[in-house]
Amino acid sequence: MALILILTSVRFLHEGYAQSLTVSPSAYATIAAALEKAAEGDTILVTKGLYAGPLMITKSVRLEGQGEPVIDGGGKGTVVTIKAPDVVMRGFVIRNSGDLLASENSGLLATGARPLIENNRFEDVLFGVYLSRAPGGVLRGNSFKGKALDTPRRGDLIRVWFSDGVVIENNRTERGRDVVLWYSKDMTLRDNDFRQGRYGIHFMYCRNAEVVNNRFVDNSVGAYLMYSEALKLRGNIVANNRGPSGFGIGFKDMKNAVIEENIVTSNRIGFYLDGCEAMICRRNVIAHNHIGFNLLPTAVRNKFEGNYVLDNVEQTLLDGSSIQTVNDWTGNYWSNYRGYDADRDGIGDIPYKPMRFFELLTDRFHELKIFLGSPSAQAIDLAAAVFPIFAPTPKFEDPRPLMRPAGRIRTNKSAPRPASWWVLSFLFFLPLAAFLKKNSDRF
Amino acid sequence: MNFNAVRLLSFKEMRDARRNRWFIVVSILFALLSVSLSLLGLAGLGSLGISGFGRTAASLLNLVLLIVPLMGLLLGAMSIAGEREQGTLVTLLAQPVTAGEVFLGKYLGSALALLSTILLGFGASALVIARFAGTQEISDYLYLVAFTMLLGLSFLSLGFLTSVFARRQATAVGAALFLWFTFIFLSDLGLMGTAIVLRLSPPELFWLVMINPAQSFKLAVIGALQKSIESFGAAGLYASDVFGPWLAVVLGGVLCFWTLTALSAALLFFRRRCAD
Repeated sequence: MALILILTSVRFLHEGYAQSLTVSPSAYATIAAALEKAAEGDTILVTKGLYAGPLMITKSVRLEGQGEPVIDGGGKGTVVTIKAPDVVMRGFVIRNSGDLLASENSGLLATGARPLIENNRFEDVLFGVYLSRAPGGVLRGNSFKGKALDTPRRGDLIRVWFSDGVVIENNRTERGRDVVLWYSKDMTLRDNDFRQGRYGIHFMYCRNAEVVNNRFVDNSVGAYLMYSEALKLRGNIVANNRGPSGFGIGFKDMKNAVIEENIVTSNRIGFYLDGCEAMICRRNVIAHNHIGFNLLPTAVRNKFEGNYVLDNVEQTLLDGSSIQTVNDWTGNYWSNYRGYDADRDGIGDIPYKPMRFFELLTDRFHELKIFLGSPSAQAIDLAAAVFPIFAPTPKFEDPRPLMRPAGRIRTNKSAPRPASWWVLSFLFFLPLAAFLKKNSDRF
Repeated sequence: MNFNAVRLLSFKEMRDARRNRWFIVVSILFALLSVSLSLLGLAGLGSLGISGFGRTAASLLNLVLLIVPLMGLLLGAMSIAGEREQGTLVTLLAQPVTAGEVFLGKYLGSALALLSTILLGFGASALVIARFAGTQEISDYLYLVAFTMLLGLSFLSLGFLTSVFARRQATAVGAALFLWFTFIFLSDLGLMGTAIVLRLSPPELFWLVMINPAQSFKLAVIGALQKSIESFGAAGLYASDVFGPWLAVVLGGVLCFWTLTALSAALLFFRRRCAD
């Protein structure tokens, strides 16, 4: 077989205790053969070629792929299994796992501590990397593309199970189910790009994680964080998550999370809070979602501050009636604020009170949403504003609304300034005026 | 049918429209508002640095919904009733042309005047948008323009219908304003109340809403801009389930239906009334 011919020679490099073994067009027939000869701490260099899986790693070795060698699972079971601690797996293409959800067929399953999985490409796998009781694992610079199956039949491209201190950075997943973390603490997720899955990320019973500068785009739900404590979400871009529930970021029974400087845009629901306490949500951009914030009555003692809430079809939807006082909404920017700032301190002089009568109607009678965006819906709001007898009780109050977005929100240089659009309107008006003057005798 | 006569009559009608003060005022209003809305929409988008889906088109939508039906109705209402009140209609019909030719010429002329006004307003906004935001979402914009034209034509036909019946121009304008109020506000408010009281099911509500040309236009444009009409709740989901990609065609069909039905009714009554 061509495959065997490629792997016919071996080179030993003696370097103290640690050896380096090369699987190349020389001696070792397979990676497994090299593994058998290798001692703890050895490095195995694997050159370009196609290697048949499954591969079982039971020693603490470093596996270095050169020129992207391919490990093919042949469509059955798990492709690579790491059972020893401190294994390094770098520079491989791992593909073609089985597709049995029940037996969790994965590209790579690690059950030893501190695995380092770096710069690999996972293709056509059901689960991608499964860290099961592998504390201190590092996933860096990998890319994942799941099997072309319907969402319910796909697996999690990254799954962390009872593994504390995991670092996941610079990875990219596509077409999977979830990136999900179970029962773990002290984790870091940084600069990842998770798209076209079910949940961009999903936390279950985790503690103390940092989720920074990731992108969750085109998933069914961007991030769904459940039953966890002390999470930090900063600088993530959460866009276009429009599945059946369609949360940009959803929280369920969470405590003490800090969510700051995220951009949450064009989702069905920007922020969804169910049973959350003492969360701090500040300086986020929540724009162009169908619903900006959706809070259930179980969300209490949370703080929303300095957020830029722009042009969501419905800015806030608070289910339940007695909750307007239990969360703190002080000091956000609301694009539909109609107040003024006489003392020029950047803070609106009258409180922001969302009380659109039409929203109240659609919250109670959902079918009326079909009238959304028509003049009649606006007429109802106007009537409520002009005749206070119609006015609903405000959902909540922001006593110090910002007149201008705060923090790091960028300004587009090419946007027209007020002066220039007056000039433009004037330029447009002039020829019309001239035309009218010329024809004035005909009136 | 003498097409040369129709052509001449339609040119005459266009000149009349250019002299119509109501129409000119509303047209200028439309152009100015659409340009400033585009600028404001861009300003909002610019401060964020990320783009929504045809945001400007979305903000123009409301303007169109209010003003274009009004333009069409006013122009239509004044065209026949105005000439009748001035006595020029009799002169016109005394010429060697048939009533049908007069009617068709008048309609074509008014339609051209209306469409050019719409194009003028949208063209000015398009220049502004292209200058500040580029032309990536041009297809959304063209879609809006096309549906606006259909909307304008259907209300123009309704305007002609009122015009045929009215003896005096003021009556026709009054009736047109009432029609505008009915289609834009009253029918929706009535339907909302009905939906709440009778607990209408989403399909029933959708069909009732769709009859209104203004709502048809709104559903079609927002559906195209957002690539789905899921924002419209259960009734919207029902519509996309039933029609799928054909939704826009069906909604456009509603607009065409109104245009043609109102126009043929108007033509029928115009012929009958001119016979005596």
